[in-house]
Amino acid sequence: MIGLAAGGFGALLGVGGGLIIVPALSLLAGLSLHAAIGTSLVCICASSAASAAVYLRRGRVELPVAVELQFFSVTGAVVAGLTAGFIPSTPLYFVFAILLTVVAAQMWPAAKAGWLERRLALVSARDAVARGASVGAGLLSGLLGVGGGILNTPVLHLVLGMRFERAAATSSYMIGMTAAAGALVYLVRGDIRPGLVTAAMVGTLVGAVPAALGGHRLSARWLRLAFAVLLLFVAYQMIRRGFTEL
Amino acid sequence: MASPSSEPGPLERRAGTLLGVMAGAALACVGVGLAVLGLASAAHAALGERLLALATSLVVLAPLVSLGGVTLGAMKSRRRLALVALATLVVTLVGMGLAR
Repeated sequence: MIGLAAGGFGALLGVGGGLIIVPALSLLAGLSLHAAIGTSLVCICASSAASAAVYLRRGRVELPVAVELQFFSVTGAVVAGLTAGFIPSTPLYFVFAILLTVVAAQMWPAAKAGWLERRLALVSARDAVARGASVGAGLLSGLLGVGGGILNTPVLHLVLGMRFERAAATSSYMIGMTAAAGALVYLVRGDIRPGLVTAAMVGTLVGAVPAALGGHRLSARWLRLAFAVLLLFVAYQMIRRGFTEL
Repeated sequence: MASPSSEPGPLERRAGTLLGVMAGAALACVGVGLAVLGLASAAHAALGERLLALATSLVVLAPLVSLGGVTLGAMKSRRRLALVALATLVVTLVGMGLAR
């Protein structure tokens, strides 16, 4: 059930569902955080493979943009994975929480359109901002076991000006590679137990396909609202985690 | 950086097909693995668990295989895209090697 919900929700919004899977597996199923993150990364790969396969064949993925930004997010994920022990995580949680709250305000359907665009036009550095945000998405992925879609989708939509559905589809493809970079490390170390992963993985595979096939029928306004609420929820979780680790 | 397009090009089709094939193969492995585990003898249990492990590996490798397909497909006509895709694959594999 956790996998189904994460797969469906993730395919619609261009996120991997790690934000649902990690807390659900650790809080509801009683897994250690380590095992939950490994399981989550495999599920994100599954969700991405199922939904991006549909999106790519329907021409909804901006492949050149996805491939270019993937390089930066994978680099961020690898750096986070290798230096996780040396990075002070508490300030990072607060920085990301503030960043996500600002992005949520921009994604809110009633937000004044163009606020972010005007500022980015002033510095004329959209591509640089997108690349920097992709590194941030990779860092987030390496630290929390998520795919980084919570930053990818807003960046593609707000910074690069893609329509929301295309941004979500492109992000769906990007998060697979970012999650795979982390999941491979867990797999090589033998930290992923196939029996444990199977149920959640099948759930995400099965949940992602109908969402990818029928997602375009949903209104962009509702999808943006759902995304903004998701961002605020994650920001709250990060602040809580930051205070716990203080 | 963004370029509007609606019809999938050959690269998009190739990447999508590779992802779909890997995901489908993983689902098939899970189905057969669970069926074998259902037979409930010790020899079958080991085979079933291997099939589930194979399914996990297929899912994790799916994005890499897809990106590998993009790299090969873009090699002649879109050299820059191929190089970026190749660099991403190299960074991923180097990261995995260092983590060991």
